This record gives sequence, structure tokens and C-alpha cells, in this order.
Amino acid sequence: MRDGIKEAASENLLTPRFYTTDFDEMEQLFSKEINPNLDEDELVAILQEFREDFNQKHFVRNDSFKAAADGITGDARRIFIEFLERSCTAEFSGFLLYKELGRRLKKTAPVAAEIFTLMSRDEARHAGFLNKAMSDFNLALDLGFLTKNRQYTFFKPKFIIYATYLSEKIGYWRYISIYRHLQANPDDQLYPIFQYFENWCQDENRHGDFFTACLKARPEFINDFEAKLWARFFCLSVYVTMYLNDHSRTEFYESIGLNTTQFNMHVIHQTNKTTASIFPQVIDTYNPKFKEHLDELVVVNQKLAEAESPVEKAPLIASFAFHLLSIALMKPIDSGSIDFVEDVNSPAFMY
Amino acid sequence: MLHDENNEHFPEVLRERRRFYRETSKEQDFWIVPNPAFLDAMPDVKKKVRQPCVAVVTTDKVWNDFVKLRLDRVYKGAVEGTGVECLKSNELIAKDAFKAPDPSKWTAPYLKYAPGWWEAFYPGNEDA
Repeated sequence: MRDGIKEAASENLLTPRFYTTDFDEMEQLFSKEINPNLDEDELVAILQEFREDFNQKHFVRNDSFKAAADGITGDARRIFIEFLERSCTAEFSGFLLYKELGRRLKKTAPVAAEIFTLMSRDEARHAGFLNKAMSDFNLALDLGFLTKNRQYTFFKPKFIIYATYLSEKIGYWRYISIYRHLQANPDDQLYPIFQYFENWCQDENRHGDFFTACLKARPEFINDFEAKLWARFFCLSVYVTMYLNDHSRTEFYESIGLNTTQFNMHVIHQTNKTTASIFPQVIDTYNPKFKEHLDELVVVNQKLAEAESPVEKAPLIASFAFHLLSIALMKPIDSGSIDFVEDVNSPAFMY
Repeated sequence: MLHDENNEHFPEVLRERRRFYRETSKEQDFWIVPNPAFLDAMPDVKKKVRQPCVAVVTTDKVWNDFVKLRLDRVYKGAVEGTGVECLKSNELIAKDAFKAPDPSKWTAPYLKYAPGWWEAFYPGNEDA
């Protein structure tokens, strides 16, 4: 490794994922030839939003970055770098997936292909901006190395849509919450990157809308019992992953004046409400048991990190599974787009 | 829609759009119209929409589809008429029309957007 080039952090269950999918199947889903009845209005509407390119001129750095980075020292510096690295990796993984989908769908599903390509434009911008921020800390992520040497998680298209929907929407809620908190508390603004979050996260929110449009264009993905199970499974895994990740580095959130638990619960509740407008079922995040199990998971996760032998680990893994399953078995909330779950023509229905 | 904590992305969308239109010298073609008068001529629609209500009016049909996609629980339709007719309100929505959130139940790490944010998007306030 060259000097100053940071090798990607070692992987574990909670590191940002790199996804890949069945591109042929994805192609068929959004092909107008294969699905002449595919309703493209909402896909075209979101495509137009991407074409506008609201943030074309947004990601311009200024002189304050380097000085602010130099002012972050000691433990806070390590935590900050880790935050930038994880964020950059996550944005970059989105870039790779969307770019490939844009390329593969070009012939058969031009609308979806153009959307994927424009979303990859956004992700590349975000990743590049974060990587430049890392250079303020005299580091850079070797993105070429990352591309070739990461493990890719394979999901069928239906599940890629669920997973990326959630990661975009939770990304929006995380960034806007940090931004609005720092607007009100400018003294906690350690580094100027957070000032960019308001416009930045509008991109994430729109990306999520595209996957909403995908699910609405292919309602068979969200209308059966199996879909409900998967919807809850993805909610569960995304919320738990964030809660454990953030609680294993509370210093970071505290360093910018946030209470990690309050911040996480807010983001989870809001993401879940947003998600309820398209997923056929979501978790009841206001059930007090939900947070109790999350907190238990934090404790078990901490012990797991310290455990050394398989004998120590086994009961902890069992306990981890127990709490996950307990959340999964909580009474869920039926949900979905009003276009599907409500009889809008019934006299009883009101907008 | 104006008061729901979970819909606070919508003022962000409107502000972003206004900023972008200004940057690209495009004339504004979207407004918030509280209690729109045009609903009076559409009794079937009016009785399906809870009152008081608010309309997002735009001359851009594609963006209208996007608003429906984003907000979901809204009625999407079309209205014909002059600008004045389509943008007329029966009654404005006061800044203090909604009860402030109970501080003991407000758990976001930030405050709500100041009530009345919607007034900047009323017809006539294009330069706000």
C-alpha cells in the first residue's frame, strides 16, 4: 500500500454491504417489451427529477475543510476518519451497483437504465466528496482496490429493491437529522461537511422514491404473505444494523452533540413511517419491547466483540438470535401505498 | 400534510425546487393553495378530501406525478382554468392553525420547521 492510501477496513457483519443481483431478471422486470402494461408514469416522473440535477453545483469545497480537520485530534480524529470511511464505502457501493444496472438495462429498459445511471452519478459525487474529505485527514480510500477485493452480497432483484429502498430512506433521515441538529447547535459543527447534508440527503430521498416507483410498477412484489415477511425482515436488519453500528461508536455522535440513542430511535421511527407508505408490512417500532430488545442486542454485541473462544461466543450468538427473533415475532403493522391498500372509491375512504 | 413531522421533507423539496429555478432562471410553476376554491366545482372530489385541506398546484404534469409518488396519501387530479381561478383560496391557513407539539413527546434531535413555512409558497409570494 502506498503511503496515505488507506486499506479498506476489515469486514464484519456490520460493515457497509456491497450488493450484486441477477441482472437478467432485473432487465425483464422493467422491460416495456416484456411487460407492455408496465405503468411508467411514476418512473418517468422520478427520472425527470434526476435529470434536473438539483445538486450539480452543490458539492464544492472551500478553505475551511482542511483547517477544521487539523483541529480534530486524538481519539476524535480516529472516530471521524472511520465515519468518513464508512460513509464513503457505502456511497461507493451504491455507485457500483447503480452504474452496472444502468449499463445492463440500457437496451431493454431505457427509462430504468437512465435512472440508475443518474443515481450512480449522485453516488459518485457523494463518494468523491467524502474521499476528498479524507484527504483533509491525509488519507484516501483506494476505491479501485475496494471494487476488486470486496465480497459482494447477492440478492434477487426484489430484495435489492427492498434493501436499497431502506438504505436510501434511512440515509435521508440520518443526514437530515444531523443537519438540523447542527443548524440549531452550530458550536457542535466540528467539520464543514455536515453543512452539505441538507441538499445532499435530498438525493438519497429521491433515490428511495425510485424504488417506491419500482415496487408500485411491479405490485406482485408487495402483495403476498411472503412479501410481508421479507419487508419486515429487511426493516429489522436495517434498523438493528444501524443501532448496533452507531452504539459501538457513540463517541462520534456525542462529539457532534447528539445523544446516540435518541438520534437512532428518531431515525428508526421516521424511516419506518416513511417505509409504511410502500412496504406491505413494517415493524411496530413504538412497541416498547422493540427498544428493549435493541438495547439487549447492544449488550450482547459488545460481549461478542470481546469474546475470544468459540465456547464463549456460542451462547452469545444464541442470545443475539433470540432477541432478533423476538423483534421479528412482535405484532407487525400492515401498511402500503394507499393506491394498493385502500379502496379509494369506497364512500368511507377520505384523503 | 403541513404539520406532520414525517412530511417535513416536503418543505425541503419546495425550497430546493425554488432555489433550483432561481439558479436556472426558470419561472416558478408550483404553489401551495390552502382550501382551494376550484374544489367547489368538484363536489365528488371535495367530499373525499378532509377539510380544511391544502393543494399543491403546478402546471408541470410530470412533477405532479412525482408529488403523488412522494406523498402517497394525497388525491391527484387536474383542474382547468385561468391562473387566478386555479390559485384562488377560500381561506388561508393561519401560522398557528396547528397545536405546537407537546415538548415531552417531541423526540427529534431538532425543532420542527417554524409554523407558517407554507406561506412562502402561496401565490404572490414567489419572491419570498
